[in-house]
Amino acid sequence: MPNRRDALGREHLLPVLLLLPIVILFSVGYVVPLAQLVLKSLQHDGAWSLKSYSEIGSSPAFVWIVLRTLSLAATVTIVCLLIAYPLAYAISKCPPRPAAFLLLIVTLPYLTSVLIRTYAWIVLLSPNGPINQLLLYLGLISEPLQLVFDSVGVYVGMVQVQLPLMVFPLYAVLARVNPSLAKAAQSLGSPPTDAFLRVTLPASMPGVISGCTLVFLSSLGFYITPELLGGPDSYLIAQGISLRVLILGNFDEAAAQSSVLMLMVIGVFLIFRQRIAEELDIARITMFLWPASPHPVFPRNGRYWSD
Amino acid sequence: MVDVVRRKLLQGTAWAGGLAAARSLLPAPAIAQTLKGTGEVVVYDGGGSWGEAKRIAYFEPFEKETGIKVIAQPRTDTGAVRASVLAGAPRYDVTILPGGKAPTFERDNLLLPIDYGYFEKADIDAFSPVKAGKFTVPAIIYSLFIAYDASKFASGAPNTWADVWDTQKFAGRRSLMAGTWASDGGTFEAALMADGVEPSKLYPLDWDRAFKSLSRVKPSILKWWNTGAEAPQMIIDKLITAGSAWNGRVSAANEQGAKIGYTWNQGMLQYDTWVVLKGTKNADNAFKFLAFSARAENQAKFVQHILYAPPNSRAFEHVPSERAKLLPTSPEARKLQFVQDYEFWNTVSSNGKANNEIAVAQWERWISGVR
Repeated sequence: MPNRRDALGREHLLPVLLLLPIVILFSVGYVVPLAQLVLKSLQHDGAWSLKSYSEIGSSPAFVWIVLRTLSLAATVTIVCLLIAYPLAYAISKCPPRPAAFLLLIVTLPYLTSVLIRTYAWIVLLSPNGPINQLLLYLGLISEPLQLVFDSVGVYVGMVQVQLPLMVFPLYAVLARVNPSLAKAAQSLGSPPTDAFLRVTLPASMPGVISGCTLVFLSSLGFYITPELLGGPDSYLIAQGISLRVLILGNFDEAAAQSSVLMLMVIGVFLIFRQRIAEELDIARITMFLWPASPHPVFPRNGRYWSD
Repeated sequence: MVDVVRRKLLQGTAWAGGLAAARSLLPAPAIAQTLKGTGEVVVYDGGGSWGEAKRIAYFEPFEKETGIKVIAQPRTDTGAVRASVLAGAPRYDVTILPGGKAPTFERDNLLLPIDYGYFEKADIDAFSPVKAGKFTVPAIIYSLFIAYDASKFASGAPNTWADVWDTQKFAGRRSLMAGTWASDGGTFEAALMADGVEPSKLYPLDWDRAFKSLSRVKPSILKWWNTGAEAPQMIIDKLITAGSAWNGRVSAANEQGAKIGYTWNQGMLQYDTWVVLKGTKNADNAFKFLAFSARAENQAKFVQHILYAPPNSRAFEHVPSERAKLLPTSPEARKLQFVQDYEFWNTVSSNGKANNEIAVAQWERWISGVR
């Protein structure tokens, strides 16, 4: 019996030890600075005060900027979902190797510098750019379209980079949906659209929710893309924070606005956290990226160490 | 033309080298003696052709004359500079701040008073039209002016801000600097002049009138620019036909073959100042560097490499007239322009906020549609 208890203790010790470095790094590099930020937002000129919050709370501009940020993030999320769902569905029907290749292509924008990517869009979308030139050449338009320096440009730039965050959770779910379920539905007389709407779509809802949450939350903090691709009306909360830090040097108010943004993110995250934890299942993504490996690298139940 | 100037400079250096060898036998002039020192000084660089001009005109000759090593540091946002001083580890010993922003550093006690002991009196007295201050030494003077697509308006180009606002007469999109930059962008002054206010009667700025004027031009604005290179680039790319821009950027683009038209008329003279940050360990070297860069002949050398005007007016004695007339403080250009009133921009009103902050707060409201 004592031996057995010892073995159990050691079994738990290893994961703890392996987790320790990241927990320390996370606390020192992330939790502490964020806590300092929140403390800073509760100060004014070095003394405790809620002045920064009353300042931004009483500013109608701030409310509008927050609403504009929320609606931009929501639009980007919806567009991403509309593009990502068919894409993830198609990839999930591919054999493993082409699927891994397609997923790699989807990730590529993530590996490009944000400035280079954004300037590339300015060149592509500008009135003299290749897209407008092609449309003019084909006679589809008579005047160049305004594609950049307005909301269209911002949506294009943001959707491109956010797409992987939507495709991966959707793919992970869709690849798990047993294809014979839809076939069974069809063999029982259901038309293909009905089979999709009643079987595949509900089964993929967890992926839809976690993909939407991820895209929405990370869109809230976008700064460079809207700043460079946006028009005269494009002004979001991240730009307001950056202005306070970089130009005005008003750190108290910047901290307060950042804390408000962070609270919004935490709030949305808490509502959907269960789904996200389920769908950000590294095991499955890893398995499909390296299809040659016979076993998943990290089994889902987390009992790998005792195997 | 640039090549000729450069060649002449090179010849000059070779000649000076020979002279230096001969001079070691003679007593050195007193002026060089006073700036000799040891150690280093960390100086703002600015990058691009600006950094290059500083390296050639100031950094290298200063090292040679004084034995003090210059460590050039790239640009940092003013907020980060402020944070570095507050943390007790200033990022630079000597840096450059926009004239409209330096007073906030002064007010918040982040600067060291300048020790003018190393300066020649003739240099200090010659600073014009911007005087040397207790905490600030003028570094460059430049113009925020009207720039336009010269190929589009070959005859009858926009000559006033009212013309820039008039998209019936001068077709095309526009760009001005984002109002979040407050005094730096000159957008509020431009808006008032477009509405008919005389440059001499601009200050104190009438915010309501300025925003009403901005609301009229907004439908024609392609985007608000944030960095100096953007406006000339948008003209080159035919995205806009007119807008505001800084003279140095426009000239640099034209030297590379662009066809950007401009007028000094109703242009705003703005300036940047050198400051020494509090907490520096090399304050003495910093003051020596500032004294060196204040000399007329060094500023003349600087102007050969970039078209930012020398604050030491005696520098014009050493600048070829062809080059001098391209500078924003040349007599012809000077009389068409006015100096932006940084004192107004830093005046603190009854609610404890300076006009620079008030402008930003109102701009945020206006851009969100609640003003």
